[in-house]
Parts: sequence; C-alpha cells; structure tokens
Amino acid sequence: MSEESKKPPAPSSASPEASGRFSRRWFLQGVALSAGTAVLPGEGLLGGSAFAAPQAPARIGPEPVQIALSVNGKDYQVKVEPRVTLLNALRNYLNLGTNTPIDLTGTKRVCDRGSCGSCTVILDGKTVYSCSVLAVECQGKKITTVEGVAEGNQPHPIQQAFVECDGLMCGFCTPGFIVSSKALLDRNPHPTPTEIRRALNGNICRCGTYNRVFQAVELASIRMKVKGG
Amino acid sequence: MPNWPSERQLMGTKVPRVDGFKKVSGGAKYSYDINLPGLLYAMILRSPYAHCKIVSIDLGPAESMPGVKAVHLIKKPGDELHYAGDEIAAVAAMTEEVAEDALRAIKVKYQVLPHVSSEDQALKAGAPAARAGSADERGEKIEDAIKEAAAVHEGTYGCEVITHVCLETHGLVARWEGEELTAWASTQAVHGTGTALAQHFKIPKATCITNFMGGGFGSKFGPDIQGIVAAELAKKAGAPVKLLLNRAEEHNAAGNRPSAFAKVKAAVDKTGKLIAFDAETWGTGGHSRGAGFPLPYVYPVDNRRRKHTDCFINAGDNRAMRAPGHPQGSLVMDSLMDDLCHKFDPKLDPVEFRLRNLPSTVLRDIYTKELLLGAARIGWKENWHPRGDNAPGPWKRGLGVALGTWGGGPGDAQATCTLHGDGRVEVKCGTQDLGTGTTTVVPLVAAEILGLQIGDIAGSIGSSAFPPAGGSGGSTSCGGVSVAVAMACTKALAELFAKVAPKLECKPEDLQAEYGRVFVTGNLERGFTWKQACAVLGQQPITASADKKEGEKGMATSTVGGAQFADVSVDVETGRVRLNKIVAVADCGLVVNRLTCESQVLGGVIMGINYGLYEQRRLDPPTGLPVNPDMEFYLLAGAGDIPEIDVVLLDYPERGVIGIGEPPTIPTAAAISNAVANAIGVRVPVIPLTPRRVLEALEGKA
Ligand code: FES
Ligand code: FES
Repeated sequence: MSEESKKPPAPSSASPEASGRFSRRWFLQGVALSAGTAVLPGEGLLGGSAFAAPQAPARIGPEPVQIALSVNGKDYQVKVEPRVTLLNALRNYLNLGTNTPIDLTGTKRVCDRGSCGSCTVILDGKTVYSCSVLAVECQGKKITTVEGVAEGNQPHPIQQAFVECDGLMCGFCTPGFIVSSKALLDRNPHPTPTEIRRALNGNICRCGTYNRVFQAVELASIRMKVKGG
Repeated sequence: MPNWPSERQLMGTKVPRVDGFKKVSGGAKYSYDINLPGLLYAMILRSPYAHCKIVSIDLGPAESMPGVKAVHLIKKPGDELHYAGDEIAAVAAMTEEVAEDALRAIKVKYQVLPHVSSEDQALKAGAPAARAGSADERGEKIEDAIKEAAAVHEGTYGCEVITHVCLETHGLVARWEGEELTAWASTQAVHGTGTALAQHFKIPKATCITNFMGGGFGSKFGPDIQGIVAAELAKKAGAPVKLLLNRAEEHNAAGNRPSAFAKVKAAVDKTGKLIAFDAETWGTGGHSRGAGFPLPYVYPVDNRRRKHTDCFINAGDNRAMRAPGHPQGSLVMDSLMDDLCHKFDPKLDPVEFRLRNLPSTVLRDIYTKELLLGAARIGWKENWHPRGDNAPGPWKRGLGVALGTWGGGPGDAQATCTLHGDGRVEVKCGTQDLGTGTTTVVPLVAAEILGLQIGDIAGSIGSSAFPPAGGSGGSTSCGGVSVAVAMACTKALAELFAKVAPKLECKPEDLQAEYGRVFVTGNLERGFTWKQACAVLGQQPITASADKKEGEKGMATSTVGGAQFADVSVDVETGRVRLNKIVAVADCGLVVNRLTCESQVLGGVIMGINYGLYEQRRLDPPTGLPVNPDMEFYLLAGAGDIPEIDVVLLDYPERGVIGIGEPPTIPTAAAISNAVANAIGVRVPVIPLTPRRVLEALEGKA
C-alpha cells in the first residue's frame, strides 16, 4: 500500500484555520479505511466485482461508489462517497436510489457525533449510532430503522405503548427511543426499571419525556408477556 | 357571555396524540425531512473568531466547484463579525458533502479584534464591549427599613447562559415556483415566518408549512438569516434548497437564555415579612441583547432598589427561552428567601416562611393550596429538617421548595369549521404544534362542541394558508386556539341547527348535539344521527369562522402560579447531587387534554433539572471560542438522571383554559438549589450545581 493511499484525501482547499471548520468526516474516513484494510487485506471494504479485481487497492473513493444496503428487509443500491455516514445515506441518498427510491427520514440527525441517540438503528441485531458508522461499512449487514419496527401495518407493542403513555412530545428523539427500546425488548423481553434506564441512557430527549418513555417500555413488556413473549 | 359546556365529555380527559403513530413510526415529516426532487443542500460559512473584521473574501473557488449551484454573500469586506459563528456567506450544492467542501474553498482574510467573553471581562473598566445600566427604586429609604429589621441577609446568586438545544435545528426548505415561495420551516410561527419571507422578497405571499417540528422553546419565531439565505440560494439556483443548521451552529447562533447574577441584601421584620430589598444585578444576552429578568420575584417588597447592568460580550444573542427571565428570577429570589428564612430563624419551616410572604393577589389562594398540597406529596412534615443533614455517611438528604408565576393568556387565533353534507367536519387554524399537542387540541375541542368523537374531526394546523394564529410563545396557543376553534364550531353548529330544526318541528335553540346525535334537548330519540343531520346540507357545506376574541372572556385566562418541591441527596465527598423526587403542582385552569398537559409539566420540570444541575454554555476566555457547542460536553440529563416526578394538576375549570408550556419550568432549579442547601448546610450560589461547585461551597470557597 502506497503512502498516498493511506492518507485521507486532503480537504479540497482552504485550511481549517481559514474556514474555521474541522470536519469529523475526514477523520472518520481515515480511521475506517485503515481499520478496514487491516482486517481484510487485499479484499477492500467493498465486496462488489468492480473492486475485487486482482491487486484491488484497499483505497476507495473519494469519488462516489455504488453500494448495496439492506434496510428493513429490502435491498437498495445507492451511490455515495465513502465519507458518507449510514445516517446520511438513509436520509439523503436512499430517495435518489435508481431501483426503488424510498424516503426514509425517520432516523434523525441531531448531534451528528455519537452523543444523542436520535440516529439509532439496529445493525445486525445491535444498536448503533448511524451518524458514527460509514455507509460503506454496512454492506452485507441487516439494517433496521424506525420504519422497520412495525410488523407490517401492525404497530409494534412498543409503538402502541409510546402513543398511549405519551412517551413523546415533539417526537424528534422518538425514533431513536423506539429503536433502542425495541432492541432492548428483543434481547430482554422483561427488563427491570433499572435495565430500562440503562438501555435508554444513550438517548437524549430535550422535551423531557423520559418518565413516560419508561412507562411505555414497561407497558409494552407486560403486554408482550401476556401474549407469551 | 360564551362559555365552555358545563358537562364535558372529552375536555379534561386523557387523549393520546392524534399524530402519535406518525411520530413513533418515522412517518412524521419534519422540515428537516422534506426531500424534494432536485433538492440542493446549503451550508453557511461562519466566523472562526470571537471578534474580527472581514478584510477580503473570495467566493470564486467555491462557485467553480463541480456540484455547487449557488453562492450567496451575507457580509462584505469591512464588516465586523461579533462572535464565533457569525454568518459570512452560504453555498448550495448537490450534496451536503460538496457543500461542506465548498465552504472550505471560500477564501477569507480576517483582521482579528480584541474580544470579551465573560461577564467579568465586560464589567471591567475599559473593556471594549459596551454596557448599559438601568435602575429602579421604590418605597422608602431602604437603609431605614434595614435598621429596623429583625434579620438581614446578603448573598450573591447566579445562573449561567444555557442554549435551547432544540433537537430539530433551526432552518427551512425553500422552493420557488415562479414568484411563489413555499417554505417548510422549523418554526413556532407559520404566519409570522410566511409574512417575514414575503416582506423580504417583496412578493404578495409566501406559504410557510410546519406539519411537525422538533422543539423551539422560544427560539424559533421567524425565518432568521438562515431562512432568508436558503430562499435566496433557491432563487439563484432555480431549485429547492434545504438549509438546517448543524449542532454547533444551533448552539452558537440560534439563541440562548441569558445569564443572571445578583448581589442582594434583604431584610425581614420580626413577623418574618420581607421589608427591604436591595439588589445589584448583571448578566449577558450576547453581543447586542440584554439580560433582563424579573426581581424581586413572586414575593412582594415595598421598599426596594435594583440596579441592573447588561454585559455585552462576543457571543451569540439571546432569544426568548421558555418563560424568559423567570427561571433566573426564581433562582435568585427563592434562594434568597431560604437563606433569609435560615438567618431569621434556623428552625422556621421555609414553607411557613413563604406563606407569610405571599402576594395579596388572585395568586395568594392558589399558592397557598399548592404549597400545602406539594408539601404533603413530598413528605415535607416527615423529612424536612433545619439546614444541614446530620445523618452519618457521605450522602446528605434535603428538601427544598420554590414558586413561579407566569402571565400567559389566550394568544391571537382564528379558526374555521366546515360541516359537509356527508357528515365530515373540517377544522382549520394556522397555528402550529411544537410538541405541545396543539394538533390534538384542535379536534378535541371541536369534538367536544359538536358532540362527536375526535376521530370524526379532520383538524388541520401548521400552514400559513390556514386562518391566522399567533406564534406559539408565552404559553398562549392553547388558550387562543381552543377558544377560536370552539367559537367556530359553535357558529357552524348553530347554522346546522337552523337547517335541521324544521325537520324535527322544533326551534333551533331547542336542539343539542351530543353522543354523535343532533336531538331535541331532553329527548334523545327525537333527533338524527350526526350524518343524517348533516345530510340536510346536501351539496352546500357550512363554513363558519371565528376569532378567539369572541369568546376569550370567561373561556381562557392568564396569570398562573406554580409550586415545586425537590428531595435530593448530595454526596459531600464527591459533590454529586442525586435527585430522589420532584413534586410539581401546576395551576392549569380548565385542562384541555390531561395527558399532554401532564407531559408539558414533566417536560418543564426536566428542563429545570437540566438548568439546575447540568447545562452551561462555555466560552474559552483566551480565544472567546465556544468550548461545548455539542451534546457531549454540553450536558443534558439522560434516562439515568431522571427521578420520580409527581405531577399534580390544580384544576380550576371556572378560570378557563390556561397555557402550561412555560410555568412548570420556572421553579425547578430553585427548588433543587434549596434542597441542596438544606442537605449540606451551605448555599451553592451559582447554578448549574456541578460537583466542583458543591465541593467549593462545602469548603467555604464559593
Ligand atoms: S445524531 Fe447520531 S448520536 Fe446524535
Ligand atoms: S420529544 Fe422532543 S426531544 Fe424528545
């Protein structure tokens, strides 16, 4: 691997001092790429044929690349620069998809740096902050967003309970809380109040709905128990 | 005089939000979520310095980048930039990534100027920032009153600058179709924003749509610079533009609650009544706005003097934030009250001390009830002790209380109600829902008046195309909107009765609408189902309009009082404060929707917890740059920090509807501060009550 390929692409122009901005994306990209090459020598991050040529460089981008994302059980093709986060791919790019454009904006961008939980999605069974994962890393993984929590047209018990208990106000944090709560109930159908608080500690709500969110999770858990969960 | 029905089926019950399922499923489209064909993404270049001047600026390199569709200059060479985050220029590009690159490509030369980044610096003589003073003096000579006093206390108290942290940031999506502008804005005022955009672009009308919005708390009343810029870029590019601020911009440039500091001397007579109050106060509201707050607060004092100074510093300007000024006034005043009570008689119960000092207004009764009710709910009798918990071990427990007041009253609102021949009911009002539940208030009130169920009503709000309503601020929406909707529905119903009466061979005034029927009062059988009744309209629907002015007297009111109690434990080894329980007694007149009303109180209390324990906007003194414009170093309570919160709604239906958005956030921080003082025996004078400040107070350094 050449020196060149290890370096994150240089910002196109002005220095951070001149513009006063520092982009986390460049940092993320550098980290993700080096981590990727360490794990998968010679294979690259993208399993796709275009990138699987002999001596395929581990370096991808900076130009947009075609990737496949499996979201809520459906496969989508999107073309994104490697620096695009999963969150931004969902919100800004899926609606531009060539096969079946879809408008998945339920996942919210709030802090954009892994500290509020509004962008929470389930990636291969685990909750992640989608603002802190690159889209290119998510190929071949199962992504569940808030739009995929309902079972068909039937709201998930957690969604029903949030509405009944008023576990939401403005609702901007709500998708994150719904996804985190669902992930909790998936792995622990009958959590204690302490376990509920711990599981939701990575989600911030500015309107102050916490107490009713806790109630909602408890209610959903009880209902699932009654139904034989 | 119009009034609410004396028997109510829906008002005052717990009704889940009608838009709840959209919000829990990701189906709710906020302005941030509007994706239009050909949408461009815009970003703003901002000052990297706390104070500087633009020497030169070259947009060329950005303009010529592939994917960049428009650039826009906000400031020009020679212009001064007043804080880190002040707007300079903006770009619109095909993707956010390109827009970000384009900002970096803009070449700006700055001349750095001296800055001021704290109240202390601003107060120093010769500081480069201006300051203003105001003075207020009433009653007799304070000095004389103090001489006669049974006890005098002197203390300094303070609150730091905090920011709104709306989870959905400020901004909008702008689309031009010829000369017509549509904006999907995250705003508390669809009409205000539409009008401001139309004025700026000198066009007859701009439509503002806000179907869902992710919090405003007082900071979102117009298009702001970023909204105007988005529309300018959309015009230049000939394509729709989305411009919503990022998190750092939101902290730095989208408003804050000013700081408030007070050096107060106050005295009581031998009955424990306040007789003198002398305060010097100061605070910062940014580079051009003041930092006023009410003081004395809640408790009246005849002899008083106050001198206030606004400190201008190189930081973003303040904006109204949930009960502007009141949480500050409450923190200062109620801290002082407790300290004074302790000085007067360390064994005197602070609840009793407050009862002796209540105002002789309509609020006297309300506060008395609230204090007694709240004291019972927090276990005051059993657990209150004079200042300083003597229990062994590092954890000390204490109780505290504080009061708040707010004006409110019914805000401007008009509504229309349309009854269709097939029984459909449409109600429209150009108000908006900030998360408060207004979307549900509209059909709830309509259904109450028409004797229907909520699901029978198609309520529409969130567009400036609907009848005008004021911005949602000052806790005025619920009152204004519910009265306007009720009046419009009452008028429409009267017209329907006039058409139905002949068929039932009765007079219109003999008719009544309830249980989904229209019938002769006293005889449910002698009537029609709602649908049958509406069928008389055929193809001619009825539309009635009303203004809240037609019914506000008697149906809504203003001036509320609230009391809150806190039960805390403090670790005197680490300085950590743990909340055990909060009791919030809220004065809420006629409750419209008990479920969302309680949520508002819970939310207000949690915002007060954040204010009291965690939040502080920090600027780095040497550079004046913001240190925590984010959500990891700018602290907000998470799930693990939230105690049991007992909400008690003090129903007063005869007072009419009262907005509840602001009052419940006022006294929380003061109640917590008093509980901490009660636990550890000393006052921690400035909030947030961080572990460091608690330890400093314990060491006598505060
Ligand atoms: S937006 Fe991802 S954690 Fe806040
Ligand atoms: S409901 Fe508004 S931030 Fe949680």
